[in-house]
Amino acid sequence: MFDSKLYKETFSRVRVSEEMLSEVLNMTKQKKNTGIRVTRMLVIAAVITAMLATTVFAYVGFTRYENPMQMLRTFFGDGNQESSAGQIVHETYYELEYDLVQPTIERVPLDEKTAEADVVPYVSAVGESVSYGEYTLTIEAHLYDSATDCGVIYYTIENPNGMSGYELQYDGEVWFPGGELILLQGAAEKSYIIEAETTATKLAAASYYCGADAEDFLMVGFYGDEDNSLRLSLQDGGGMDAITFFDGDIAVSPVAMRITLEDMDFLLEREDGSYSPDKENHINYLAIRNKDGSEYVLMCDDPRVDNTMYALITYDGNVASYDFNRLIDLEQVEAVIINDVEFTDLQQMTREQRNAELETNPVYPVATEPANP
Amino acid sequence: MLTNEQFTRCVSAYIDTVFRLSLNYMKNSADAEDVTQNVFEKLLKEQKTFESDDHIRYWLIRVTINECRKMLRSVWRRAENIEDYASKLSFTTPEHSELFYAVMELPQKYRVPIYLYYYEEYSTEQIGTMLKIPQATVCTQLKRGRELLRKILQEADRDV
Repeated sequence: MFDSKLYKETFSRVRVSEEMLSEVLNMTKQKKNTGIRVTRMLVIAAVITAMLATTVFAYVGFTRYENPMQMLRTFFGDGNQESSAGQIVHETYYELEYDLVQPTIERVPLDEKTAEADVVPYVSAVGESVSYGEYTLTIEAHLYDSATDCGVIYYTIENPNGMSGYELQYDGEVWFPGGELILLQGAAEKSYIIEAETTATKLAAASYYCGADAEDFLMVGFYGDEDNSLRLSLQDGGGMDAITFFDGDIAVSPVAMRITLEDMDFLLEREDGSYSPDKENHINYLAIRNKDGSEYVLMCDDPRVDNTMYALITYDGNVASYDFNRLIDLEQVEAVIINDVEFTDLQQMTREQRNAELETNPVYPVATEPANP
Repeated sequence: MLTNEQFTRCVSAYIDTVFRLSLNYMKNSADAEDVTQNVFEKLLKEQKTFESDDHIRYWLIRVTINECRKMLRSVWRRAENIEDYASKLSFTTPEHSELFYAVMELPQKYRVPIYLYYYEEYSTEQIGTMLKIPQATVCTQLKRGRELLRKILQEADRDV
């Protein structure tokens, strides 16, 4: 039986130091950026605050987008990026020659039922623009998922004298060899061209991002003109549904997945039985299995498959996030598979099931390894 | 925006709450103090009108969670032995000391819900909203956290 009284007594001893209390109470008496205890984070915050002090932002809140279904067809259907078979392409870059492995990509039609019920309510209209020189950036719409800190931004960049300077990768990823035009602050991202809406003077693109940095907003603007960035709200109007496995270490929403690697020691083990320090380098198979037996393979090393729009591992190697290239019907999900370990302890119980489990305290299944991997 | 008087009242009422939650996240008093300072800086600048003391407390906890998550991803975290901090706490009995060490041995995903549930007395539903996880996951984390805590304390007794 948990001794909550002992716990409370124990942690009531945990209090801030008198020095800390005094510093915080004195915050009201001190000017910004002077006399404040200098921590590393405050130094960064002070720099950013000073940069932003004289700017006027367009703050974009959460409003419903007018044609979200069309946007979702583009982002999560098969109308924009095409499926492609994997291949090895020999590339040269100046004097460097190398083989580039292009993975197999599978795009499927949008699951419109899931889109309508589970995702459309969270697509927000934006319609805000900023200009820099000849260029105008317009954020058309934004979809944010708080369960995974991932999302998608639909934007355009226009130049009346012609939109050039960018190149396309084999999968439609947009990049500017001469240096990126657009800066996203607060997350990391990858942009893909939306061919149907791109013209000679306008580039239309979708930015898939991960790792939104726990602030209330992202900032999107031009490199060199960060002061005039647009703010995108991360208040997601309630939050998409999500299911979890492994005590919350795996979170799956209709659009993305986030995995906390901290307790996944099985990832450290090499085939020869030795251990390596880098868990993130050892995810060689990642999939979602549905109740009907089908699998959405997010990534596989051999053969090389990549059905994510963007994947990110945090600097400390503890959190991996993945933007899906299709929508997931959470009610059909049975398991998440990481390498040869299946996570089947889906935590989305009814209230009655949950209360029954707490009362009877049965052994609860954890990650199980298949008998014959 | 809070007046100076309101801010002072909030600091007095909630600074320990923020610090305790930060310590449960960071397992490091120096980083916990940094988070605490950041949180109250944000409170000082917050333009929102709070409806009640509960609303302020809830807001502070949400911001603390966000700040802790941000700092956990930072390259600039300080190294500190939790035992050094614990030695300054002067617990009244060995049971209190053992429990503190045992709790700090738990993974963060169990420490934080246990703190919010048993100390701050939030419901599992409220905790789920704060941590952005399903309520069912909170229940499981509480259960597993308790089981693991029991195991850690039993092993500590055996070592003694």
